[in-house]
Amino acid sequence: MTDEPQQPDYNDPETLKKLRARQSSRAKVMGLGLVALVILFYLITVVKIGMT
Amino acid sequence: MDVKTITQAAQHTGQLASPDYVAADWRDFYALTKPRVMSLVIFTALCGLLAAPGDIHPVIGFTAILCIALGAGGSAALNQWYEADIDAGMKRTSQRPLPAGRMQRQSALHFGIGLSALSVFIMGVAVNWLSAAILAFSIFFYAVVYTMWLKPNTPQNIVIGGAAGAFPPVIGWAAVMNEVTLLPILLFALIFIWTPPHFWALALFMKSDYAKVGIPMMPVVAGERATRRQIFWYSLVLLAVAAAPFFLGLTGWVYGLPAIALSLVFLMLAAKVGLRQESDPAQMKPEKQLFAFSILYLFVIFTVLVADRLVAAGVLA
Repeated sequence: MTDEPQQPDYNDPETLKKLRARQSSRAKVMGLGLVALVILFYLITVVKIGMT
Repeated sequence: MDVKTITQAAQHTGQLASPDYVAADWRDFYALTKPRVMSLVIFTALCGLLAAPGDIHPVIGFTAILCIALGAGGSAALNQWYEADIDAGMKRTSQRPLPAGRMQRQSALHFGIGLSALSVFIMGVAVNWLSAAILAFSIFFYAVVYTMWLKPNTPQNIVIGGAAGAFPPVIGWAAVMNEVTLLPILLFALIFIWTPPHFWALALFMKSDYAKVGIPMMPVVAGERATRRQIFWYSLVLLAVAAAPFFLGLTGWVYGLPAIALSLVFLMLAAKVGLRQESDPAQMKPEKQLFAFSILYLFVIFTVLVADRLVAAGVLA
């Protein structure tokens, strides 16, 4: 098993572009997930207050 | 080949590709959650929730299903984190994010733990702590008891490990009722008994894959003849378990008739598999038929259960 990560060449523009694209898409998905969680917690709170 | 030899052989079978140090794509994290398996989990959990004779606010109901999905995704990620080298050795799983080298192993571990903890926490706070406790136990059962202990050590892995996949309808029911009664226990039993013939049908025509990576699946350890016999006997028990809710008066005809009819078809296909001696995977049409039917079986049987309960509640005419 090879578990040692290979350090890519960050001076290579293609690698850098790939890295930035992945970071950007991950950040967007993470942002959407967090917004969804905020909305969910808000709704849960409203429902729970309504129940009591 | 005995279990010990197979397990020892499993230690270093797969070759993981060198992990790419460039951050993994979000699609790889999504793939870690085994979305196809998750769809069955969500479906059975939703059926458990809808079949429960109680009321739940739609937001809370949605949260419960979301938590079950997140928990299933988290445990699937932990499963792939632990089995990365085994996955690398099997054609079916070699393109998963870890064996393909698209993600670092530690990322999968953190993702799995984070998702699992989040799902249990939200379930406890928003729904109830009984369903959160069952969810936590099911994650532990799948990720630790099944993946780390049973699967590499015993051909009974699928039999006992099947319990992990049987929890979702119980959690769905507990989310509504905050208690577990006879019907959800029977639903648990239904999936528990369904799992071995479902997986062993697959294992029969994927035997060489499992043997290669040293997973002691029943056909690898006990042989095909014994597996075929067991498939039949489990299918017979499945008929009894599937019919039990009807005969115990927990459901009506809307569930009872299709459940008995489908279980008889299941038994017939299992008998066909049980009587065969074919060992060439290319010639295993009845085995593939049984595997495909078993998926349809579970979907239909849970659908008619919900329909039955909705008819009983006067929601459906």
